[in-house]
Amino acid sequence: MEKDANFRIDIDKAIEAAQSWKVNNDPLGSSWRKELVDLSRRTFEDVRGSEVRLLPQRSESLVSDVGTIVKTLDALRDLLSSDLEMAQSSNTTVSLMCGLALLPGEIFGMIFLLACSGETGEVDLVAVTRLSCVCRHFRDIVHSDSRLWTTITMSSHTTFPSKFLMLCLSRSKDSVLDINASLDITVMESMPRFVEFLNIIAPHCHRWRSFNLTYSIGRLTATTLLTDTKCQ
Amino acid sequence: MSTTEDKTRKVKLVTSDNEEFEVDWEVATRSVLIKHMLEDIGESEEQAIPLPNVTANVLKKVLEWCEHHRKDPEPAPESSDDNRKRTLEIGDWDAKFIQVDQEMLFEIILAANYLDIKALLDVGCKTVANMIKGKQPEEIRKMFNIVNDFTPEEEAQIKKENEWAEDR
Repeated sequence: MEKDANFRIDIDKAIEAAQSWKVNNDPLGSSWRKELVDLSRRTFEDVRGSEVRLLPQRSESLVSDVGTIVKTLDALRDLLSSDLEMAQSSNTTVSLMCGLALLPGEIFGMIFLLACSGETGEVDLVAVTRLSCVCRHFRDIVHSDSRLWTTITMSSHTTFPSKFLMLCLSRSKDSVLDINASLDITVMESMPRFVEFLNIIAPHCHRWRSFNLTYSIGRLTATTLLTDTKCQ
Repeated sequence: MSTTEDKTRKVKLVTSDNEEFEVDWEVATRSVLIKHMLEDIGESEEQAIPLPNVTANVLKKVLEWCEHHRKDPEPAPESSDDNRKRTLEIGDWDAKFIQVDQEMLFEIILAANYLDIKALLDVGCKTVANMIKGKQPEEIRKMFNIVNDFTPEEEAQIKKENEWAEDR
């Protein structure tokens, strides 16, 4: 048992106090309570003879007993506090896990769509890809929700591999597409890549909702947005 | 279209745990499901609407939202253009309203879906979307206690497929 300068841990005494609290609504218990009352009412005039020596001992003994109970409960509290933190953290995880498990597929899809959408509403395919890597269930939802595959992008320096581009187009099923392409005509590979990009997306032109073309010559940049009607 | 008579009308709703709520017509009809059920039963005011998929504590919370939004215009039918206006922004009142424990959050989402209250469903979905947005797969697994159930072969395949996304 752990000890400190004044009090020690005594589980039996703590249990006695807890039982007294439960039964009599007084954690001090009847004998300690009686002792406390008796000691508190003594006056200077009362103490004569043998009592002069006995009273301080009785008083110290009471402080020791009550202090031991408090010390024991403090130690118990410290031990349980860390368990409580773990239980709370586990409760959060369990609630999140069960809540998510209960959601029907279409709500899952809606949440994924919101989580992967940028400020202007375009779907961030990097975020979509990350979600598909979480587990099979996430992957199946991500792969089957056509709305997540409708933003097709080609940037001036990097682009999706052709295979992935074709996969996006196939997963987007019949949904309308938003195409974003940017090219820097001072970068040598830019034009051939753009032609390759166009070759892949052209067969789906009936689904284009917007075609956003940004082209630059070094530092100069211009943007052309073809909306639904212009596309047609 | 609601009439003046409708606005003073009371509607009784009965939850799955048999608790009865009496609310204003205008509040109850934020739910498209309840609105259609009321249209079906017509003038019979005494008839309570059973909601077998919603418990009393969840309905209480849903009705709090409906009460606050009772004057909101009816949501417009979805158009394809709406898809381009997705944001994760939630109004101040709604953000405070949805600060509930996780269990209640998902209960609200399910209830909003069942009762067909699109705006409330949006608030719930945006809250969950905000939790996962920008997180790495491992962080999402940890948050929801999800086990990575891909086989090593699938894992290798995924890695190969997603190489392009790794540095972004």
